[in-house]
Amino acid sequence: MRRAERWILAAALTAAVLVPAARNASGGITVLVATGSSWKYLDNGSDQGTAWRQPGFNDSSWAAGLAQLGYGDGDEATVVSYGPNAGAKYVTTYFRRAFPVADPAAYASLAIRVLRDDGAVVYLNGTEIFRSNMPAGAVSATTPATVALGGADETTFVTGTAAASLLVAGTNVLAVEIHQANGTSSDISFDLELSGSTTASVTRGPYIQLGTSTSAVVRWRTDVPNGSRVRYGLAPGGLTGVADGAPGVTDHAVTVGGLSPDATYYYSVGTATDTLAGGDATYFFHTHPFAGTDGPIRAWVIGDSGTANASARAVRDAYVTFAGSRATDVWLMLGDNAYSNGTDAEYQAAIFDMYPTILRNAFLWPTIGNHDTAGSSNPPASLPYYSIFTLPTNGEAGGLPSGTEDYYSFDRGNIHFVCLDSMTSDRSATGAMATWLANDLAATAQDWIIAFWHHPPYSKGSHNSDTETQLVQMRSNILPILEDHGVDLVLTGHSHSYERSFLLDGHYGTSTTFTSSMIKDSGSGRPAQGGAYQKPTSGTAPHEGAVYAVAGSSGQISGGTLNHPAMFISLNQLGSMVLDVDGNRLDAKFLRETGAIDDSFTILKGSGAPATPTPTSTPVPPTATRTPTRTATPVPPSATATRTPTPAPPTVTPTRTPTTVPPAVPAAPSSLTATAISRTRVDLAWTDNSGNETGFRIERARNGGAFSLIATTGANVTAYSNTAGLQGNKTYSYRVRAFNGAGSSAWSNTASATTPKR
Amino acid sequence: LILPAPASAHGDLHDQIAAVTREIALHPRGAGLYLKRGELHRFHGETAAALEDYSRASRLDPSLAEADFGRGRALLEANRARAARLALVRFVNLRPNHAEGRLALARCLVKLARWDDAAAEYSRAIALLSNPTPDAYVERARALASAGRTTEAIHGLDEGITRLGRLVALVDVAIRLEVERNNWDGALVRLDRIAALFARRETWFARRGEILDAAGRRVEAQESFEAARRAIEALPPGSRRTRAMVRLERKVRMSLEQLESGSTVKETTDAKS
Repeated sequence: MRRAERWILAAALTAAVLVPAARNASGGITVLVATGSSWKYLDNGSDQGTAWRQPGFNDSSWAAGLAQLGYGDGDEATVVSYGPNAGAKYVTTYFRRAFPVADPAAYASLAIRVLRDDGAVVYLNGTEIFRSNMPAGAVSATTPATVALGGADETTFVTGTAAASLLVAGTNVLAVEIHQANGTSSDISFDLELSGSTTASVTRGPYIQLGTSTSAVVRWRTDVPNGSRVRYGLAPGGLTGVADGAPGVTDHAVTVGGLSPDATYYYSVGTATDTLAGGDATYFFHTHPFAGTDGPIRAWVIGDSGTANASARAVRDAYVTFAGSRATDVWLMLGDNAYSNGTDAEYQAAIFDMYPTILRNAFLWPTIGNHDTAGSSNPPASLPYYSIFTLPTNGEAGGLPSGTEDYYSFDRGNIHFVCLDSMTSDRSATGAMATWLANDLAATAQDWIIAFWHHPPYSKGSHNSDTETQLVQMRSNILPILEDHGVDLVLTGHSHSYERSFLLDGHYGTSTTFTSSMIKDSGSGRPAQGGAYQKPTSGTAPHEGAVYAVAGSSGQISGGTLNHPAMFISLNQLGSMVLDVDGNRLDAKFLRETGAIDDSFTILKGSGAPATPTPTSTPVPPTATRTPTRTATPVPPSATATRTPTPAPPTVTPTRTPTTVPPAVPAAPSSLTATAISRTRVDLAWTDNSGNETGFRIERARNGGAFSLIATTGANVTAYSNTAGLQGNKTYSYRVRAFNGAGSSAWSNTASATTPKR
Repeated sequence: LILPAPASAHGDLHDQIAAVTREIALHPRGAGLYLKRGELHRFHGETAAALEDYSRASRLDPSLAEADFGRGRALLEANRARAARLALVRFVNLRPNHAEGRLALARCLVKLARWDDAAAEYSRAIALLSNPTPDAYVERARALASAGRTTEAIHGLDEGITRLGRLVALVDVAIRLEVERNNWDGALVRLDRIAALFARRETWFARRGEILDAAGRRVEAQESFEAARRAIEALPPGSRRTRAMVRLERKVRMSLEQLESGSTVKETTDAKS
């Protein structure tokens, strides 16, 4: 595709992401209360109890003004009062608006969009229909909002639905209470839109699941029960195929079978008589090629993404901009997909309202995290995770039947993906999951094995893999099975950071047991900076090394010491991972929410591995049958953004200024000191003289011997505690250097310390 | 320069706990609020705080059975199985059809080595679960086997196979149990059925050889080991060099040598070799 076309499509995709799911109706929408409407309001700090919510309440003494109403942001059409004390602002401000409805029976459902800063409860004719950022249960004038909103969240409308049966013929009344998070918060904001739909509306999706070479499951939700029909075909204007699902349901799941492998299908969803969504060129999916087929595969990997906040949106928009016209073949979600408890409403906000356009095109394969089960290792079968996703239990997409959606495998091209469950299943080496895994891996003939689950085997981020049960058990019981069968890449989340290992093998203990012999390749894995990670065997072979990545910063960052010695790089930054696999080459990138690429690595297999980076091609939507021809712009493997500049994305997409100028090599750290604290601990400190480093590498030598790498830190770190591999009464020498995408600095001074005998 | 931020992966949990605490201040007799905060403390691994809230919830509303469920799970997670059992028994007595409660009680009874009671609870949980996992069947089989009720353990696995399909996780345990009770033909039938699902069968051939040798059927055992050897030799070099295959090939070679010399092969090949 020509660049101009790529621009247009990228912009269209980005803009479409912002369209609320509730607007996907086929038509017949009437706006009952528009944004910017006039509202009665009461801003005197009084406690109005509950009577004010009722339609018959007398609000004639209240003031009136146009929305947006509020204070503190400067964008209000009507400024309301917060009282006499800026340090103890009124918690609650009340709003009411009457509106007429001639024929309530004409409406099948209601949709509401609310701008609320910080929390809101909305009542229609005295019945609560919407609540956001407010605790459950009774609410009074002194109940604070649960979240103090900031940034883009302050200007974002959140959506909900309500039953049209609440409308009455004649005058209807909306009553709204806006709550401050605390008395010192600087602002409140309020605006609202209420609309009625005269037909069923799609309120979730459509989203596609369980892709195989001959089938896909299309799912969506409507606001009222109706039939389930998918129309599909090889061109947007030729949806000649029909597949039906259950009638009279709101959650629709239709299996579309009898498809051709490696082909693009367009589709729409609706009933036997109506099309509710789709039917144009943006609703399509691409069936899997036959297992074992070489060809470019693009995977997007997000972890702990379920915050439904501006950070998650920035990570999403960065990927949409990065991907441009390139379709996403595989979408992995590494758990904690919807905070805080994995409720259906939280999934709506964190996934379905967050990624509507990606969901309709990319097969999503999730794993379960602790927040998806509300922290329970024994969740009920009614858990939303199980009802929302359709996952293979019987080897439908390749791999061995697992009998459960908790863990499963599937094939895409020449990759065998394995999803494990580190939260609810038995993690022992003799448990059902381990038994299944060993047999599943023994049975695969795919060239690549990529495994993913939630709790990381190695992390020093916001979780510690040395001490937490799930992390320890996955490492000690599951990793040996994976490495025995030649796993290539392991993806996890849980820690809200990005941590990426060297090419490793055989590290099953705590971080203190990590030795340099477990590093198969201590380089960056970057072809332009010392070389890609090279695995000798073409196809899978055991113990040739795997890369372990924690990618749990797709919705928030939470710090940590970020100094696990197995890691090549550890970053406290928002972002996601992008994988491109083509034949015997795998290219991985950590894509920041800014659009910058802060890490990359490549794994090559066999002696015939290509020397040039994998092109990132296959435009969307391609012709009906996708060919493996690669024509698009290659993505360079360096740590900085050097790809072909893309146009400035629209509105909320984070602006990235592409650059083709590589960064300078960072300045060397100085003033390194080493202090022996105990027999097993030496503390280091140094001066960071660079403003552009990606991190620091620390090396150690014992008793005048050769230096070897012991740790890699993130940027701006100036201290490190060496607690691994030390003995009493030994002299250890240390040196540190900074690195970034352009290379490494000179070494710092060498500092030595002698550990005490006892 | 900025030092790494402190770890706060549960910041959202802290926020939720703080929000519920504010609610409690407004409604100090809200039993449900204490239960909610107890659950949040439990998710956060703060067992003592969780137990205190569950107790407060129970005092305010003695009919709130879920407080016992939370208490039982918190105690179980803290490896206090004896106390956990009391809470979980109280809970299932009040909520007899609560599948997850019965499953938690079954796992608690396993920790107390009360195998028969655990097996019974597993059975009740499985009957109640709309989608039982393979774990539930495997755990019940292990409890029954530990109680010496091997035949029932196998029947329970067959129930799982009927419900979930011929899963290797279930069949593998069933084969072991059949071998344990010297039902060689039963083990072989199960092995042959599951092996038929696999394109690669070298592991299954070897395991077949071990079972046949243990049954004293040495000629058939030798044939199976030979089949395993041929299957390994036919593998592509990459697959053949895996650690698992190298180990299996060595084992097969030794087994064949022992059979030729007249000694007995020790069964060590399993589904995870």
